[in-house]
Amino acid sequence: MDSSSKKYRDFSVVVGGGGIKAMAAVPFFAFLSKNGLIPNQLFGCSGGTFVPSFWANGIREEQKMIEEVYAFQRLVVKEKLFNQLDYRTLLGMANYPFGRFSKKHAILFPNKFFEMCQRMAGGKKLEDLPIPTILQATDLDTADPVFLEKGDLASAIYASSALYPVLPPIEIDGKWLVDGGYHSEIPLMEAVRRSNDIIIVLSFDQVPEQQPSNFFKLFTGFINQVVHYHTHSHTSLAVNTHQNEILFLRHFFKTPISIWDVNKLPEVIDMGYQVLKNKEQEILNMLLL
Amino acid sequence: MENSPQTSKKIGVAFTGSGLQGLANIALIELFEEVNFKPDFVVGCSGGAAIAGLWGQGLNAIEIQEKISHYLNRDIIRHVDLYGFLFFYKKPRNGYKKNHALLKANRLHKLYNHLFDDIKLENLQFPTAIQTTEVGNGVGAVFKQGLLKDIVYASSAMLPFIPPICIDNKWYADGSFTAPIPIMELVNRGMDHIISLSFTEPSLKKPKNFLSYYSNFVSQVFTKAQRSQITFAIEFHHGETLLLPVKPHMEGDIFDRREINRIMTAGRDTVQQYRDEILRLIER
Repeated sequence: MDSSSKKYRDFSVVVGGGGIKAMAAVPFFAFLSKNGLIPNQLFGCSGGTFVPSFWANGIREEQKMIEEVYAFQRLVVKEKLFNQLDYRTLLGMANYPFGRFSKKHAILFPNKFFEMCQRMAGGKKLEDLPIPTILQATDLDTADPVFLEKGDLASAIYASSALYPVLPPIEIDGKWLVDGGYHSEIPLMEAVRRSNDIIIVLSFDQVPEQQPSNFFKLFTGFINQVVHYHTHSHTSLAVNTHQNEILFLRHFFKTPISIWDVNKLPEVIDMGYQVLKNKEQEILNMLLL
Repeated sequence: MENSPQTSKKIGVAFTGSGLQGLANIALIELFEEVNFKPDFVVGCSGGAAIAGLWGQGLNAIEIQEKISHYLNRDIIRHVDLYGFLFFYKKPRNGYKKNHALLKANRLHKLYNHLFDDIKLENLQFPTAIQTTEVGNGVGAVFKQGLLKDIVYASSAMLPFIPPICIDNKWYADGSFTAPIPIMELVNRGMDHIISLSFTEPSLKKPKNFLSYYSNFVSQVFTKAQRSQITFAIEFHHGETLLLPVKPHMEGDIFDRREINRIMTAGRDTVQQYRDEILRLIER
């Protein structure tokens, strides 16, 4: 973009995690497209890597984004992405015969989920994206945050959303990486570190699930709530540190939505529209010169 | 050196560490016994909760180590829970029972039954609290009263391997998920000075077992996540906070009794290294 023709202030966008709930970012990104607003940088974590990745990748019209989200839904339902237990690893947890333990394996096999990430990435590398896009993962060995900004986009999306020990880690540049939400589900501190832009934060949370229907939902729901709890103090520190405006678009779901419950996608997208409706003018007032 | 409540500063001690790592805290107890120091408040988390409970019963350092070694069985969490496997992704007909996880915990319950019988937290010789995490909302929950065996179990229930426990109609799991070093409770209790071990186990380059690898990850990730919490705690706190780094370099898992000597040595090395600082703090 020709900077001389730019009629808005510099801004970055941070999209937090939340599994399927982070698809509620679609209306916000459609709003950016409609108003010709291009952020300087995009930050994503966990489920919050999907929409920024395909938007940065050039899928920017509202209808196309929605089609992409529903294609994802069909894939999840058809391929049963989260239904493939790794029995040898499960036996290995109790040191049973025929069990195994290795860093490459976890409770579920990752193949189908990784294929879905590849489909979303379309063979691109992070450095190929026209907007600098930074995805947050966590180093499984040191528990330090890792910010991916170059290399295979599909691997980066997978790393940022691999909820260990449900999904196995992925090795990138000699590090074994898992879900970025373990460090902080909203990578706001990294956005603060990198620039003094206005920052728009999209966060996703919900009332806790009190009656999970299976162990997967019990555990993923618990971990989501725990990382959400830790994110409060991270976010407070980031807000205190930043020297410019930060606008939060909080997407709060009053009924629990399990981490990859794709049947709830219409409800999720609708939440994105509801939140945006109340904030559109505020965003424009904040950004337009 | 026993504190006089009228004149001395209040001193709180946090006992931390996953599984058997908690035994490293015995080194602190040895030093406290040597100088006849009694804390004003104790808070325990995960493996450290068991040590807090045993010390609070009046056992000395040697008795605590002997009691744990006596009842600890290597096979304590070595049995798969088929219910957890079967209904990992399937929905049971009558709804999922939350007292199941990937491994069975009946032997762990038995261990805590031996260690604590029906003793209650509020009856310990020092005011004591225990850090857990509420499963329903992922928020830290601190117990100040109730059955010690259940609360200590809750504080060390490492999901998804060890199942949570229901206490007063709420489900609780390992306190390490929310506050591996629960110093905020000591700040809230008005302690002037705080002492705690801080486990800085390096990454396991050759992990041998899923449970130890995962518990090491959880401990590291949430200790780091807690940094900003600790920053706030220190900011609110007007006294000194002494966090003593311990590196046990464990090779086995967190319930492997062959690790006991390694853990005890690491704890004693740390306490020896920081002896003067600890004494300076507790002598006030």
